[in-house]
Amino acid sequence: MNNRRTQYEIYWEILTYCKTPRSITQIIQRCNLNSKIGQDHIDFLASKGYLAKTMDGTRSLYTTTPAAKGYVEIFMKLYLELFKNSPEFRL
Amino acid sequence: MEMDLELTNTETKIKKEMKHFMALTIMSLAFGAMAMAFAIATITTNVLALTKTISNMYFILFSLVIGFVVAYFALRYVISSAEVMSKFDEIQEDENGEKNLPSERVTERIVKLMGLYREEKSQIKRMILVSKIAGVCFFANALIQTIIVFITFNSGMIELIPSVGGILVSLIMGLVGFYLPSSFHKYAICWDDRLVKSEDAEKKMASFMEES
Repeated sequence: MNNRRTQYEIYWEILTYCKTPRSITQIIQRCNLNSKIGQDHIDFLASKGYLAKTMDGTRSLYTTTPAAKGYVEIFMKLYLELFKNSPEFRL
Repeated sequence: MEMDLELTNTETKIKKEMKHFMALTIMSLAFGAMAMAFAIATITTNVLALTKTISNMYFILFSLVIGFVVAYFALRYVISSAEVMSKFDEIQEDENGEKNLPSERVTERIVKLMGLYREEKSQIKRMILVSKIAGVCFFANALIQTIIVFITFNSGMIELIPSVGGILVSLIMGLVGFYLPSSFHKYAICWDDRLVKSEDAEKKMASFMEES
């Protein structure tokens, strides 16, 4: 689904998806990104130490590190609160 | 335990909202289709009337114009509703009727719904406007039909029944035309509120990332 997401939402999606090692192509496809933006986000998360790069033969694989746990948790907490503390839509 | 309960409540709230929004899009799709059918019927009837008589010509021409305006807006409305519905359906399909989803899946759903609203916000606002215009047109049509009935009434009850039926249908469609935007407006209020709060959440996440 190609909808408008914020960079923080994309970071969260990448970090959640990379709980098991994933290639760049898999991340780009799953998170619905173009290769340039996908690569930028992955590089940023790797620079923060949230993603670790490993090699599987010639393929680079990315895995979420324990350092990302804080971000993933705070994101979920804030987003769940966002829904919990807002008015409910009813017909 | 308390966290689980909160999560279940949020999950239930999301599911309920999704059901209500789906019902709203189905209603708006049906409204658009009915409005289009009604407009086409009005155009056909008035074109035929125009070929048979020249009395009440201005009323007939006015009804024709209204018919074309409603047909155009109804078509735009049906397309917009179908687009919103298809995107929304994509999110709903991921659910597969599962219950007690982990917090990660609930968050994923919230992210998708937020994205959908951000993407469709302008479309929804347009639908609100178009539906109001259609509502006004239906009320105008009901008024014109009433005037025509009064002018051409020849005391025949049998002739009167279809005309009154037509007026009633126009009035009901006019009311629905105003009910739907008010419901979409309620939906927009909820999501606008969430978007504003999400900006605060973003600031918190940005500072969290800077600190770490």
